[in-house]
Amino acid sequence: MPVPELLVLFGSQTGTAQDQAERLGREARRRRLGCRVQALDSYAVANLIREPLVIFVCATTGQGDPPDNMKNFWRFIFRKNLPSTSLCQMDFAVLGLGDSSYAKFNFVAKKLHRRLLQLGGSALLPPCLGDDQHELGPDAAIDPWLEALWEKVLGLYPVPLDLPVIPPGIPLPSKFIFQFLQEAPSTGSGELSITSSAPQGPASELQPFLAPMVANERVTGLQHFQDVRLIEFDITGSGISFAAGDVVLIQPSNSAAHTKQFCQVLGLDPNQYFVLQPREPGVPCPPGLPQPCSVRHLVSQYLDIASVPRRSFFELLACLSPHELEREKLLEFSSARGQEELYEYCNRPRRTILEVLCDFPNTAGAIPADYLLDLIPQIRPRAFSIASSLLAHPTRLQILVAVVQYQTRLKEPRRGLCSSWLASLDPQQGPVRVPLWVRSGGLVFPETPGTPVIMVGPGTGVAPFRAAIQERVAQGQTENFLFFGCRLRDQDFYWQPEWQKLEERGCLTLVTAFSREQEQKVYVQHRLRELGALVWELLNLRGAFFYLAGNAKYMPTDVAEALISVFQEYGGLSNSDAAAYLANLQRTLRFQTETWA
Amino acid sequence: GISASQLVAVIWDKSSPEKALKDLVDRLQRLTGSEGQVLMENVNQLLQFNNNKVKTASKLCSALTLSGLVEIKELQREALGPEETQSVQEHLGYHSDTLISVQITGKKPNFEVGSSSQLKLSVSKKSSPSVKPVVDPAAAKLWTLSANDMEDESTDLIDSDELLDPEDLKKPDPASLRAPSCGEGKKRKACKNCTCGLAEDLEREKSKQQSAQPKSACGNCYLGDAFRCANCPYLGMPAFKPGEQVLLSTSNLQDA
Repeated sequence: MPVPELLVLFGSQTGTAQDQAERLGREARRRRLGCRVQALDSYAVANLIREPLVIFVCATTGQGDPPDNMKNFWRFIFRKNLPSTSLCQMDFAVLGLGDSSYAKFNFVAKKLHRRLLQLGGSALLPPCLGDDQHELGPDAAIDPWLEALWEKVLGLYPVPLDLPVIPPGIPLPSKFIFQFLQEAPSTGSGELSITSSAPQGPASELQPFLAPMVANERVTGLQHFQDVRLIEFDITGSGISFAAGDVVLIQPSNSAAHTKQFCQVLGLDPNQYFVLQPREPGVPCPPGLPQPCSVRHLVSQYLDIASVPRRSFFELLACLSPHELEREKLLEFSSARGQEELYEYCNRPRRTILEVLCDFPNTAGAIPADYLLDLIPQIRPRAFSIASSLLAHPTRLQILVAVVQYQTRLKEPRRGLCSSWLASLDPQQGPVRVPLWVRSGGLVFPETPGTPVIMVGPGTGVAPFRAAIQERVAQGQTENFLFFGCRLRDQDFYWQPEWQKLEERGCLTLVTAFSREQEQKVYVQHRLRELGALVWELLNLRGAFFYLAGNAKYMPTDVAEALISVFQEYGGLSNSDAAAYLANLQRTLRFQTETWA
Repeated sequence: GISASQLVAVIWDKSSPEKALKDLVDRLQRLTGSEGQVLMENVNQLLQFNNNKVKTASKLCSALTLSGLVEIKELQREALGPEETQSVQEHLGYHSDTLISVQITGKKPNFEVGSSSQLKLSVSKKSSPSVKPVVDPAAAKLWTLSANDMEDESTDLIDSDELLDPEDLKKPDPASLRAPSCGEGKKRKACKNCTCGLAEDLEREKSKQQSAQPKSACGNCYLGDAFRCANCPYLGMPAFKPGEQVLLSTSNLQDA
């Protein structure tokens, strides 16, 4: 009797959905079911009609959108020409991850569930709606749903009695085997996998361009609470091209101190080399790792030891722990009733994997190397709006980076991995190279000449607009309106001299809001209302495009509200007509936003 | 060729004279008999449910479902032969190389105007995986052809927003988002082998007596936060060796 096979397909933006998908895979294997776990866009969708049992694990991101690694699938599954009986062989279930503070809460999961029904699939369960807003996170919804799912699945595919469930506490076999080499390889792959001087195709995640860092200057006053850097890269010979509104992705590394500490706590020799071998045939090796690889490279460039561990980390660590006291605590942290305590210990203070391992030294010292890739996720790249135009600075790429640092109840301050790493690099001390690649951003600027552009970019949000203004001025487009907000004109007024020159040339109208220069707070949305007549004229009579960018939770809503009231006051529109007017601007791409929380 | 037990949909608009329409429906009802159904659909209503004309069998099924029929089942479909295609072109002026004839059954649910019934769009109660229909080879072919052309940007997509209903836009009740045991604030726990007195304090609190001042010298402080008392002065600091002198104002880890 063939082993029943379950297929788990995921769409994940930050890795959470992927983690849940892999959890499903492990739970399946513990129940002796065969299981394949794949990203949706990596799966050959032609085969879907033959799959009898599929679980879809999908996050909703952005404005109710599917994650990047399921965008192709999403465009396919809604094709009108797909027959309504296509998936008649399939029993399915959809597990969604989202945030109910957004209006389009779990839209991807909800829509997918309905669409699969339309295409003839049979649902085992209603969709699970994991919610970040729940005090205990998505697991609050997922745990009971998974229990119900396994009941259904094992009802359909009962496992023979001679194959009992593998209980929690016993580790599943590791995905990979580490074959350590006695000596360092003669070819010496070095710290960074530099393959050849000539790039093979455009720079991408699999093959980033190692860009020399040319400048790394602090642009905020020394009194200012935040360290913000203007960083410039030389992209000569990379084949990289970009337009204003595009985004650069940077792959950060762990610090030397953290790398050293991790190796010490686990008893690893950073100078040793190894070759990876998958335990099961047909499983590819991780594409981001050179073969052979050094332990130092693995720990500094690949393993995300500065990230906050997920529940699955504690589950596996418990299985690997030889120490009674530590093991007991780890099992508690993996259990459903231990989730509240885990949240207090780990999530709320933002405790990192490295810090947890230091708290469980006996377990850490006993971790077999084979399990490192099961235990610790890969470092994810970070995206930054490109702040310069090739038309003004050919062969250069600039970004504006706010160094993230804040306090929780842990004594050691929390630091952003990428921003701290970039801040620590000093090109004046020696050559510095940073792995990066480019992708289209969420902002697109009008091509029709004579179209005015209104840009609202407080703080670091002004970065993509600096690129846009440079580009447009180089193309002779001079109707540029920038609303810029910051705290104090002598502390964080980025690019002030540049704006002044452009104003003198008649290429820019700059409206500023310095929030802390007077008793009451003045923000960009106040300025928008003050200049409502102009804003209305530009939008309604001149066909202007409106842009909003920045790092804030409430600013986008506040600006939208300001616009609505401008439409009412200067356009004479009713409240609902004003909202419809804004919605229409959005639909025709004349109102665009790029905001990050 | 209308025969017994078929479903016939009559698409009409305001221009059809009432009597002629009634006569047509009577004739059709006699032909289709008691097993069959004759469905009257106003063309404007249908168009409201569909952004364009019903051009595919799956769209027709959806349209029929949305118009209120239940138990929609596609029985058969076959491509029109060259003669039939020609006939369509002559009589209806419509040309296409991919015309198919589809047979669908459906039932008008027997309820009065204004009553409601839940459409069977949710979980099916099948208990055994073996009773699954075989994938229709024509459907499989269409799917595979489409899937092998993932780059094709020209195919029409349905509007996924149409799949949602007002229920989907509802936000969850904030009470449902709280952790279950969040009554009187966070639990104060004592270490396993508590020597600082917290375990005793909690005991005393339970028997409603005054709590003593907790001492700061705890036997388990050297373990990490995971093992420390709720009021341990070392909370927030990493684990250290027992007996090691650790200043409470700890120095920061030096980054490269």
